[in-house]
Amino acid sequence: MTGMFRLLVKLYSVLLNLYPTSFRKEFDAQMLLDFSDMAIDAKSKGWFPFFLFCTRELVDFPVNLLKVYLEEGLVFRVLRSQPVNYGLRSAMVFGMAFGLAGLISQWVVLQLVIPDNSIFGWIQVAYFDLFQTEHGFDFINWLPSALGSILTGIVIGTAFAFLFADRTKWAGYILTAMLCWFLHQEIFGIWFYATNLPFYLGTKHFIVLSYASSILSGAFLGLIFYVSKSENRISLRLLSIGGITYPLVAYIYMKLLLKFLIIETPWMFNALMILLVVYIGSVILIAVISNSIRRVPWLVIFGAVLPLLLPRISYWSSYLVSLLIGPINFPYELPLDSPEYWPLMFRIAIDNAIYGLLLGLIIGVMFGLLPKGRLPQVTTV
Amino acid sequence: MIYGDKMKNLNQPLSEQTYYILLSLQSEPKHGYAIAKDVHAISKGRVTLSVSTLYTTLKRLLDDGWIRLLDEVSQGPGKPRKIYEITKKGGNVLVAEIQRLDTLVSAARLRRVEGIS
Repeated sequence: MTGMFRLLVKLYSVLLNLYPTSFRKEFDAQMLLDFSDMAIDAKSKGWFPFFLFCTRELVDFPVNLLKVYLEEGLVFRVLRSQPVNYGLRSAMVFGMAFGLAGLISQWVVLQLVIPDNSIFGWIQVAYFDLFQTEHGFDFINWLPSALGSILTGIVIGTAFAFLFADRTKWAGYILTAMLCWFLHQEIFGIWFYATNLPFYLGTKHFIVLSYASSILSGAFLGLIFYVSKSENRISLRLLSIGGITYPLVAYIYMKLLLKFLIIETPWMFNALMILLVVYIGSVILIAVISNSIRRVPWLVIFGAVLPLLLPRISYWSSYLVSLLIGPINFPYELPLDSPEYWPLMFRIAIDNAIYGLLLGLIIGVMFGLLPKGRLPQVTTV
Repeated sequence: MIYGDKMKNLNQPLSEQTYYILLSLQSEPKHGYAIAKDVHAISKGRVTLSVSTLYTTLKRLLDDGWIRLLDEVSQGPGKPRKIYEITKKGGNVLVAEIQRLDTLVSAARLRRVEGIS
């Protein structure tokens, strides 16, 4: 048997693990033997029969798997299993929370920022009257985005606390989730408000920096698990201080780079990467302080994978929705009494809810996979 | 005589896979791979069973008591192969299915449908 055959048979033996235990006990050795023989037989007839054989096995496998589960009544048992149960509940609550959070964020932008006599317009005028300078305007321009992230964070934190905490710990859960959500959204965002980042970095460096910032974003999301569950209050205090210092340092750092003209390739990229690495290190440090040293690698993996994965799944889900109910046209100036206002809000809520469903599903399944003794309390929805 | 659920089984048309597997085991007991090869041969290449379809069907036939495990034989190194044989109940189901199909074809012949000799 060649290396490829061995790999194919190994892959099939892994897939067989998906069958219920009773079925595996009776048939998996036979199935593996037959699969191996059939593969050799198909290959001896040429590449095309071998391709047909592989395709047939691939297509038939999930169908028959489902049949076995249905016939044994195991579908309902799977639905009642801990990870699936947690995942579905969490997906439902997070879906609703994200839908609501999307509405809040858009309301902030449409009502408080865009109109001519908006609050943030007034703040800019007052700032200029007071200091007679436009330095710092970009920081003020960033504030609506920050406010939107804070409000969104509160909604998500409430969902998180509602699902996974008893009432005595709600405040800590909400604060933790709010801070982590805010930081995961805004650290990279503040650089955009401070300068035209893609212009200075160039495409390649910008993409690498975006990926690195995704890892930081994911690490912050992962940190919600550690800080909220930790009995050590120092980690929450550090995170609270970080809520101010992370964006502030990021802003000042960028301003210093511009002031000292560290803008040429690759120096600006190197400087920003150094800050991102320091930030990721500090997130890991907070996780360690939360007494979760053994699970820190999971935090990094979570950080590396989730932010890269979710937006893509979410994009395709939203694309499917747009095919069903039409594409979204985002008007920047839309009065509250416009007939298009609420359909637009509804659409934004759906897009956000899809993202929330996926994130909630992953978070719930992760909690559900914890051993029973370490399970957080789950509120029945 | 066949009563109750057995009668129900007899009255229901068999799937093509089930029919050919029972037909294959009617001639002699076989292991899974031999059944798959035989089904391919007797259906003149029209039905090719994947491993998962074969064993999902075999499990259902075992549960229904239409076939049973006869023996486990070693053919060289490695794990022994399980040999299955058709039961009396399975034989009855197969005969009933053949009669049903025969009735259908006979009806077509009576009407002299074009292309049926």
